[in-house]
Amino acid sequence: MPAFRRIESTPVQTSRKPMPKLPSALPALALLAGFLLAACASSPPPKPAAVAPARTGDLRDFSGHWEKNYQLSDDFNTRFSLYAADIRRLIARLNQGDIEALPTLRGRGWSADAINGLARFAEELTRMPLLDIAQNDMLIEIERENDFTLRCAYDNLQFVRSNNAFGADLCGWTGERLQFQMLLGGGLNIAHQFSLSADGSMLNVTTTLSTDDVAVPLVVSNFYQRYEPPAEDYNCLLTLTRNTVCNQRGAPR
Amino acid sequence: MTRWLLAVFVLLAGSAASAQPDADYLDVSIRVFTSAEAPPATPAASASAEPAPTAPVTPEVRLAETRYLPMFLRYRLEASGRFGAVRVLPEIDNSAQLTIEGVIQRSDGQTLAIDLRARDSTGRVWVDRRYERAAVPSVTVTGDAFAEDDFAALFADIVRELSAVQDSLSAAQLAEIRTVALLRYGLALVPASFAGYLQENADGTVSVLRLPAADDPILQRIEDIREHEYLFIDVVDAEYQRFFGDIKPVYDMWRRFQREQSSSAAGFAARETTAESAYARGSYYALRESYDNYAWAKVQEVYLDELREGFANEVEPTELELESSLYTLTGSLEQQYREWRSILAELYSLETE
Repeated sequence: MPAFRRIESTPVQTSRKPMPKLPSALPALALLAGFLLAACASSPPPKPAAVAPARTGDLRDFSGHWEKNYQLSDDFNTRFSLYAADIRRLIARLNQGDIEALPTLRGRGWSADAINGLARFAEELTRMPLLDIAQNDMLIEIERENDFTLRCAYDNLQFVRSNNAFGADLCGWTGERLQFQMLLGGGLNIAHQFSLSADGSMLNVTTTLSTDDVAVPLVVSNFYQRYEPPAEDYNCLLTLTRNTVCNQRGAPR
Repeated sequence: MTRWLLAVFVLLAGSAASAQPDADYLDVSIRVFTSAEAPPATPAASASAEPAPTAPVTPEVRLAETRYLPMFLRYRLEASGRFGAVRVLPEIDNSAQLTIEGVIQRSDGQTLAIDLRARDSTGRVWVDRRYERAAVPSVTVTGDAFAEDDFAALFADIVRELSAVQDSLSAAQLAEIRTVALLRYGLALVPASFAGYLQENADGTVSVLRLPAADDPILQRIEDIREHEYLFIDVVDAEYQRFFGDIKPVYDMWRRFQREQSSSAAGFAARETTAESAYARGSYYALRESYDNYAWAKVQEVYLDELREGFANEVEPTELELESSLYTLTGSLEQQYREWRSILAELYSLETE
């Protein structure tokens, strides 16, 4: 079972409308650098976490209904092309005997299957066309279409950790940013970073995925804008086999 | 969460006589069910005990079921129109005309099995058997969510069999059941005064030896006291109704989720006990499997949190006013019920001293 050893803070983003895209994968990489895997998923569960530091400062209010802004968000194909180019450059450096590139690998590989697998999974994970966020002083819940609700009961703490049979996770605040980090079986690491524009009208979700089998993490950045949902005429239910299934309110199931 | 506070004003000396019960129908007291199926200690144990891999059932779910299922039975009995007042109680009701007790033997979303025993106040056993059914998503013509349950057929079986027994009893037998119920209540409260009225038979049933006079002041007093006990039972009932309404949506979802999970090719137990994925490491399918397992566990956590919240109001105190004295009952509903009974018994003994 993976375990968290420490987490490093990233600087507070103070972007203005329109919120600029993150310049590169560096912030996410810095975040993941704070993540050290203790062992693989089959190891014993992690020991109880140390007490997290108290949270300071006011929270940004993420609550509301958000829809994806496809114009500002990463086009996945473009993002993947850039990602593949990064890997090709790394391989080229290694082939040219550039030993400085070696630490980047940290024992990781670059098999085509693993890269394609990560990309396909990342594309699915980062679709998230709609987000429904509820937040108070103790807790935030981010409802996503066709995926489980991201929930962080931070209370007065900077971050909280938990684990279950299939992975460990950490969520909390880094300045004004909200972080969700998951270390799952098979060496799959997922980090979602939520940040608001200065005027609160735009939401950025930067997702970083990496596995033990791919040398370079894949970073996808998406932007969301607020919207008013129409009256709820449907009952929707997240199912395992059919994703979200809806029917008309009042109709028999 | 709103504070649960209920004040009931009672006039002991007033006309507390109960409404005349319908001659053909009996009142039913359903005790909160118990569960025979302890949550498995480990997923591995679960996997070895069950042929089909299913998720381990947590204490929160089991606890919720012990209330949800009797409440659903209560609604079905009421809807049948064949019974009098139907109440769900935290403990055995001494004054019950018909008592139903259930032990949940199996509940995994796919199959529900309940050992049910129903007996009347005379000790006559109406049903004593296991009811077992597979889940069938139910739809009602009226769209009444309270009538819908994936195991509605199981409860229909129970209602049908109980109705059949009731129909088979003569008016005299039904009257005897009501009389014995009241005498039993008196016997529990004032053993010295009621000892001579009932006789226990060799087969465990009870029959009436003789009856107190219709205008016996002690009997009238006992009837009054029983009415006051019903007042608290109504408080408990209101709480159970709130609980049922709160948890029904999430419990329905939990059961459906459980069913989907256990019927999928890779069941929970197999997932949790199998360290190695069947898929090539790093492949899309391996990543998907890893994430889906984790997502499954997170969804479970949310369901369990919501089920826990269903009990949140229970620890709130209840305030009951009785003859200008205010009694505050605290603790769980079971504790409050016991406390209220002891208050009534004490009150009775003070009056008769």
